[in-house]
Amino acid sequence: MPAARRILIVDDDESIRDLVTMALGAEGYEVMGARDGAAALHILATSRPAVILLDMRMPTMNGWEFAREYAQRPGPRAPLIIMSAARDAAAHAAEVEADAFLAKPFDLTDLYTCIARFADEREARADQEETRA
Amino acid sequence: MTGFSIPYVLRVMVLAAIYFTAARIGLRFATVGAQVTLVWPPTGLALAALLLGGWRLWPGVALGAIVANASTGAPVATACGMGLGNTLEALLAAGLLRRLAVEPSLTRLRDVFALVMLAAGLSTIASATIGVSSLLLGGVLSWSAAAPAWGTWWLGDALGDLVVAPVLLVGFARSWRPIGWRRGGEAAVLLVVIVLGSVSVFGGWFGAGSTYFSLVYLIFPCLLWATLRFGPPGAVVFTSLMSSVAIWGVARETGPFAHGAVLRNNLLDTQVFIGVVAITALILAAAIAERDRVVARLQALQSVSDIALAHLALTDLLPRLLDCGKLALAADNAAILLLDEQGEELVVHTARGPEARVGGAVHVPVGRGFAGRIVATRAPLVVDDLAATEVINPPLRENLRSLMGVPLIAEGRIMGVMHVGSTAPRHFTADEVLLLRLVADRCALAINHAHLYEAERQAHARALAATRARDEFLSIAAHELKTPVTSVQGFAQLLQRSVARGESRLDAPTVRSALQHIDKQTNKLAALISQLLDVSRIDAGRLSLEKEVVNVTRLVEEVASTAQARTDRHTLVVDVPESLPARLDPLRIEQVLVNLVTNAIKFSPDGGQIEIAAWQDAGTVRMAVRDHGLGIPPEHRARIFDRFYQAHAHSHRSGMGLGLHISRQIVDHHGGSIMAEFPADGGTRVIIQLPVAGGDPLGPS
Repeated sequence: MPAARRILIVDDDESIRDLVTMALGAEGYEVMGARDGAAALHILATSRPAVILLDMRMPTMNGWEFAREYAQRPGPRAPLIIMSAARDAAAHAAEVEADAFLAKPFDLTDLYTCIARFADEREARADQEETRA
Repeated sequence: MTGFSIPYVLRVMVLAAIYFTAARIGLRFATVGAQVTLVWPPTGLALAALLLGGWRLWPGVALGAIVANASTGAPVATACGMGLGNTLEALLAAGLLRRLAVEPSLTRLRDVFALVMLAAGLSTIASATIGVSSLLLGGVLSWSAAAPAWGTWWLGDALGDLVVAPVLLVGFARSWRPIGWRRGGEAAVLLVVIVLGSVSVFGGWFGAGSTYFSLVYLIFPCLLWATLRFGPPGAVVFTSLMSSVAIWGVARETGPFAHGAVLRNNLLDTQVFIGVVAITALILAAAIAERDRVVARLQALQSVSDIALAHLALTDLLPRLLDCGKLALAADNAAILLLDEQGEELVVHTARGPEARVGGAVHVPVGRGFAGRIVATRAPLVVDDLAATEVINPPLRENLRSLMGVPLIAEGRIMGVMHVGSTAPRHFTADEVLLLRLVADRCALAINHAHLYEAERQAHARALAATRARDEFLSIAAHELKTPVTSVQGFAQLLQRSVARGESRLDAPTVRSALQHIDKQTNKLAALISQLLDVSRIDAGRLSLEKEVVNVTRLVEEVASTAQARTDRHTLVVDVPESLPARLDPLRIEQVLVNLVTNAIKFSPDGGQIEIAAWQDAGTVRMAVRDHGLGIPPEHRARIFDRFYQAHAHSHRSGMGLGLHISRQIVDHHGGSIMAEFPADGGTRVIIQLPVAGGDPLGPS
């Protein structure tokens, strides 16, 4: 059962992780940070966030490698939102079949909108499932 | 030509004997006295002998002529006078033709005209005049017979030059090659037709006398067949056969010319006819040969031009051009030598034939050897016998006998030599030199174009690489700048929203942390921007140093203590002398040291000791930063000082990969060097060497 308001941010840059944690924390989300794909997979082994925010260029395990590994894991998949500073952020998002992308630098409003869409969708679906059960 | 081993005296004697025999045959047709004849083959024989065998053979002519004339019963003095005339005639004709470089193959119109005008027309005047004078002086000839005697003599000698000399000249000048069955068959049929036709016309098969005069026109189809299909050889064979039969016919009083009772008149008509036919055949054959040669030359040049246009790379172009030139000139060997960049030596670029086996390792200095002389004079060179000339490439002399070479010149610039050779002795004619020059001119243009194309291609590749590098630079720079901008913008918006809502939704520690982030990321942005500016300045060649005398010891200590303040997992150990003065740009060298120490810390993720040292060594100041961290994998070591290169991009991505690149440029601008060592026990040691030891230029410090 995924926590509807739990978000995972995967980025090697500490300041971006802190920013997302503070910004979403202020809106009542619970934010977990991972500095690369490997750390993110480690967190995902025990926790099921509603949305994953993913940077592409990271050391050790980058966004592409993480997305591939994550897709192969059994069980339900959280929506992926790509955050990329590359010119072709949209292309990167398509490569890993992400659900949305945010091009760096992004507006906080866009971050909130994006997160709200996927997290609330998830929440609604979770509610429905609960009702049916 | 004359054999090389036959002694001179023997050659003279043989010539005299042949001359005598030919003269005796001619004298059988003597019509004015016993000495003056309309048929005088020895004139042609003597001309051919002196032209082909050299003028030194003249005693053979003189001897044969005197003996033959004496055999007619003329007094010895008269015979000697006539012999003198015969000899002078031959020497004059051969001398004139040699002087005009007449080629004995008679394949050029000018050569045929020279033979007709100067040999047959002019030189024979000497013989006729001296001979008739001798006869008059000797009292053998009456004055009233002088004029017809002179005319007869002149015409007889002229025909010798027109009929006999061409057969011998063409026969000995040509290098005879076996011809195919078809052509051989045609030649055989032609010979039969010539003989049968001549015999039927002049042998009187259809009747004799002027009634049947029009029969002589039957000769002309044969003439056309022989000359159009077989060129000069066909012409001379036809003329000699036809004229022999015609004289035979008139002697037995048959054929169209046997119209009177006087042999002399009949013979005169015959000889005029033969003369006209001979000149016609020779001119026609030479014209045909010239046309064939021009066609062949144009075809060769066409294929050379086609090749020159079709290929742009020298390695494809030159072998094909060489094959083409070798084929067009029927040569055994062909080579192209190109001048080196300094224009001092020639090196064989491409070769065909024996020279190809010799190889291209031989360097020919300009001015020496065969090719070297061509470059020095910028003029063609023909060597008939290589054994007698200086060659730099000894196997050339062992394998080849004759050589012809021309310079390769395009746009006034000489770039090499093209030469073709023959394994057998061969005289390359002026015509062949011209053809080789035309081939070489096209070669030179093609080589020039190939060079231009190559230069253009390289410039294009460099421009593309520069554009790619610039794109890559912009892409990486933009990417690196976006991360701190994202952070600064995000934190600023967060604070703004908090303030805008009129209530503080963020607690004090969060606000403080956000402000710290903004401050830190702004510094990072500033650092990135100054790195980018440094690189752009270096690329534009505008990195300027502000050198002053500083104490390197202090510089190192400051860098180390600042770095130590930022890490508690690493121990910085400084090893410096009391004082180490040097003249350098302190800000730039500090930048280098900070970069090296930052790298050392960054790539020692597990902490550990970092050693920084500075010392003086052999007129240089050296600084070294050593860590015990990750080191650099061997496959990355060669490129760590390259722009944007990140050896640990996979595991420790950070920054733009510009630090070591900028460091090296700064050290280079100081006239120093920077290098990396990879000690066996791990880690990296980067050493800077600056040629600025403390001492004389520094004064007391």
